[in-house]
Parts: sequence; structure tokens; C-alpha cells
Amino acid sequence: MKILIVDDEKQNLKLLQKQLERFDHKVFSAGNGAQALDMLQTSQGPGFEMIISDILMPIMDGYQLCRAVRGNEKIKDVFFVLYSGTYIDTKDKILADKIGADAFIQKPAGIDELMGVINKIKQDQKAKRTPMEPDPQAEILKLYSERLVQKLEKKMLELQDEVAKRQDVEQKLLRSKESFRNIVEKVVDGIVVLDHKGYIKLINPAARLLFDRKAEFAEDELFGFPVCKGESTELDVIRSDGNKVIVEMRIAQTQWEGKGAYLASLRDITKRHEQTTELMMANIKLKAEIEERKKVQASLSEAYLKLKDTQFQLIQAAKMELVGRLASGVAHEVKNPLAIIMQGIDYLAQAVSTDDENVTQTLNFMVNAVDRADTIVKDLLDFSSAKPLELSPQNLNAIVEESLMLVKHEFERRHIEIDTDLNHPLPCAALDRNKLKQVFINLFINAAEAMPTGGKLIIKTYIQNLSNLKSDLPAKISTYSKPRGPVAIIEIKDTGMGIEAKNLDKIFNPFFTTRLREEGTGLGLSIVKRIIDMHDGRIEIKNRPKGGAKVIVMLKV
Amino acid sequence: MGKKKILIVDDEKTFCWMVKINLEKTGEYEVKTESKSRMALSAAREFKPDLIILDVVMPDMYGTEICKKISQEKDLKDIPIVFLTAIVTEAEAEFQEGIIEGRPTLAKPITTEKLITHIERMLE
Repeated sequence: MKILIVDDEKQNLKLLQKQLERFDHKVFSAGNGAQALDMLQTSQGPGFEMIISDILMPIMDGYQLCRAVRGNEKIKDVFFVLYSGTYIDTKDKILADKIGADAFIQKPAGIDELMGVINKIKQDQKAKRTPMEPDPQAEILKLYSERLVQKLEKKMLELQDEVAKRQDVEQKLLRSKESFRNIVEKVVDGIVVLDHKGYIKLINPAARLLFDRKAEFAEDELFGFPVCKGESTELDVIRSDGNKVIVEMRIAQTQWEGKGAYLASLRDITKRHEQTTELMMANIKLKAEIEERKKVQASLSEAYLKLKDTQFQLIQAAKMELVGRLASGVAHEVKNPLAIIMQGIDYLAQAVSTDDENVTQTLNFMVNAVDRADTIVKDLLDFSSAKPLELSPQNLNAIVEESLMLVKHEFERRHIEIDTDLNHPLPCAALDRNKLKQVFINLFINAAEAMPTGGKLIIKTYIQNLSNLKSDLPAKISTYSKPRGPVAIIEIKDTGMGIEAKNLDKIFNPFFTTRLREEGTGLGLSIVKRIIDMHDGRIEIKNRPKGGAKVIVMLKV
Repeated sequence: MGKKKILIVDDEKTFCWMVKINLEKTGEYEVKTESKSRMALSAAREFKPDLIILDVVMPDMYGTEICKKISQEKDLKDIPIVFLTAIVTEAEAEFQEGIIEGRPTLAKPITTEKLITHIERMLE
């Protein structure tokens, strides 16, 4: 159906048009009665089958339009529907009927209602339509003006109401604007609104204060700081008094007068910055103090270790002195009876029949027993010797050689090859010749006994600077007496069975022995260690990777 | 030549006796023993030994003191003296001859054989 809709409200027209078009009607629209009449009388005119018109419109209202349509021969048969939202009562309907309208629909009407009405009209055709009087009757005119006046009154009232409402809204708006201003003016943080080119659109007093700007030239000025969205940035602002202020800026996107803009919130963080810096400085200081304290603690614990070591040595020395005194007393008291037994054996050997083998055997056993007891006493004396060293300038190489000469038969007996490298001249040093001879003899005999079926003894002496020397001594021992500077090194290596790992840290213990009871007192290496210690030297014994043991003696020279 | 006269001064009476019988058994020596150190000097004067064996540590008087006194006596000062003592070890005695009063020193215990060797060397 081709429909003309008439309404002075454009939005109403659009809405109605859309609704009708959905039902495949061809819809045209006009803004008032006069325009509609024009359209009906032009070339488009003859096709219209229905007019849907508002009542109150400027220039020509709906009633007038209806009358004009019905009065026009060419278009008088077009269906006419009045469609009005306001001020309707039964008199409106009567008037509508009288002027020849086919239906009266009250706004707002759903499309279903509208379509229902339209279809009904089509069915009823023009049958029921009241033919319009050719001339407006007085009654119609009266009704018409009455309706119109009433409608205008109502419209007036409505407009007054509208004006009151608007005034109210305006008031509210004003108050809201006032509050907004108030907030913007009073807020402690700086607020600046910038357009997309970076011109200031709004700046609050807090921001002015931050940037040190006067009110009159703040707005529409270039902001002059880079604007980065999202993350906060720190701005260094130099004030007119020369002071630097650090400002934290956060940017958010916003709208200003309908256009995209930036909202910058600004905060003076100079103090916070200062506090942070102070905190950082305090932190650094604290760290340094902790570091210092750690150092002090380290040196304290080192001193403590040293002290412990010294104490250990003092106790050790006191113990040794006591043991020394005891040992020499015991030695004297034991040796005298041993001397008597020895003489007694000698006498019995002469006096008793030597034909009896058991007698001879017994006497031999007794001699051996006396020798053993004597050796133990002697070793004990050596070990505990409270005697001070008898130091005199000595050639260490000569002492080594001399000691070797004294036990050479022990090596020959076992077919042990001796390889000496004593060619490096060692400076003369204050040493106890006899005690060191005892040391080397002890070590040589140990080496010989470690190679019962032959092997090789390697002896080497040389000078070394101790700082270059890697020591295998455990820390506990190496803190104790730390010689510096050049030392004479005497290396004694054998190709024997070496030392069992579990015994390595026991070998210097008094009475520790791996030999059978009859063979040794277990004091040999203790005496060696003691003599070396008395010389303020060092001794290490370890296994060689290829087998056998290696003894390193270090003596200050 | 008759038997060599040897004086042994030692507070251990048993030791003195044992040495005496062992030396005399050889038939070479006539041995007198004195276990009281204070009597040593008079024993020496009376016995006029060819050699004196002195213990060192004794009650009343040390062997070293007796040695000094003998050295000071005109008639006795040439008599060889040997210390036989438990205060030195055999090694010390061997390596450091004359460690006591510049006299030869022997360590207890000692075999008769060794003692005789020393005595003989000193009497040569």
C-alpha cells in the first residue's frame, strides 16, 4: 500500500515509516498538512491509498488536512487515519468522524494495533464512511474550533510544564557545574585538560601552582610537556624561584567539548622523592654498616681461632712439660731395675749350664724384654723431652746425608735403591743437629720398613718460597704456625705400601703403630713431629698417587 | 800384672753386687762397691782403684760432686772415671761423649760385655 504519513516531529515520521515499511508498504512523509496536500496534488498524488496524520501541526493541522482531502475530488477516497498522542477525548473522535476520517489511533500504538486498524479500514471500504458535507456545517466548525482551542490550551499547559521542567534541569545543571568547578578548583592534585594538539583547555589552580603559571595565560597555551598515555611520568619543573619540583603526571583519555582530549592529573612528589632518596641513602649506609660488621665479625672469629690455637698450644706445652718431667723421673726409676736385671741375666748366662737350650732361649727372651722396656723408656723420654733445642748453624744437606749413612744397611738389606738429589745448596740454619738426625733416621727406617721386598727411596732437598706452596694440611693445622718466606724442603718418597687412608690423620699420635707390638713403641712419628714443631717447622705425610708415601719436611732457613 | 781394681759407687746395692760378681767372674778384676755416696771419697782413698764407675743420681751426694772432689785430690785425680747412669739414653751416651763433667758416660741398663769393653778401653 502506498501511504503518506504526516507529522511535524521528524522522529515520529521516521519511526512510523520504518514500522510500515516492514510490512512492505510504500511510505512517503510530510512535515505538515500543507506539505502533504501538495504531495497529494502533484504527480505522486494519485497513487496514495492511505494518509496517516498527526493532529497538531504548524501551517495546516490534521483536521484541516482531512477536510481538504475529503473536499478534493481527486483524492477524496484516500483512507484517512488520525494518529495523535495527546489530549484525546470522545469529542475528538466525534470530530474526526464528522470531517470524514476513517480511524483514530492513539499514540503510542504498537505496530500490530496499527496494522489491525489499517486492515479493518480496507475491509470496511468506504461503506460506512460518512459522506462529508460539501460545506462545513456550523456544528463541525464549532466542534473543530472548540477542539483546537482545547488542544492549544493543553499544549500551552504542557509547554509551561516543559519550561518549568527545563528550568529545573538547568538549575540542577548549574549546581552540578558549580560542584564540578568547586571540586576542580579545590582538589589538591593538579588537573589539566589538553586537546589532541597539546593545548591547555582547562587548568585548575593546583596545576597552575605546580607549573607556576598565572591564570590569565594558562588556557589555550601549549602545555609543553610530552604526553604519554598510561604509565605515570615524572616531570622536572623549574619554578620562577629557581626551585625544582618533581611532578608525577598520569594521563587518561577523555572528551572535551565533544572532541577527544587528554586529562592529565598531576601531583607534587618532590617530598616523596626526597624521602625515597633519603631512604635509599639510609639503605646504602645500612648495607655498608652490615658489611663492616661482617668484616669485624670475620676478624673477630679469626682472632678467636688464633686465640684458641694459642691456648691449645699453651695447654699442649704445659702438658708436654709435665709429661717430660714425669717421663724423666719414670725413666730413671725404671732403668735402674732394668740395669740390675741385665746384670743378672749376664751372670746367669755364665753360671747356668748352657747345654740346656731352653735356658739359653729364656735368657735371650729376657735380654730382648729388657731391650724393649729400655727402648720404650728412651722413646718416651725423646717424645716428652723438655730439653730445649741445642741450636747451632748447620748444613741441612749434611745432616740428611749423615742420617742416611747411619741407616744405609737397612736399605741394602732390603735391596732398596737410593736416589738422592741434595745438590741444591741450602743456607746454613740454626738447627739441632742430633734431634734432626733422629728425625731423618726415623723417617728413613719407616720408609725402609714400608718396602720389605725392595723398592726405591727418593730424597730431595730444595728451597721454596712458602707463599707459592700449596699445602694439603687441613685448615686447623695450617693456621697454627704459619711460616712465611723461604723454607728448606726435604722430600722423602718411597715406593712402598703407603698409608691406609683411615690412618693418615693418626700417624702422629703417640703410641699409634701399625707394627706388631715387639717391633715398635708407636712413638717414632710423634717424636719426629715434636722435633719439627720445636723447630717451628712443618711436616706432612701423604700417599703418592702412584703408590708409596711422601714425607715433606719444611724448616725455616 | 795383677787384677785391675775397680770401685763402683751406686746407691743400688743389688746393682753394685751384680756388677761386682760379673766382673770378678772374668778373673781380671778386683771390685769394691760403695752404696753410700758420702763414703765414696774415703773408699777411693783406701782402695786406690785403677778405675771408678760412678752413678750420677744418688741421695746425699751426686756422682758429679764425687767426680769433682776426686779430681781435686792429688793422689786420686788421675784415676779414670766413667759415669754409669740411668739419666742418659744409650744414644745420648754414644753420640755425645763426655756430656757429664767431661767424662765418658754409659747408660743403664748395660751388658757386662759392653761394660768390660769400655773399661778395657779406658785402662789402655
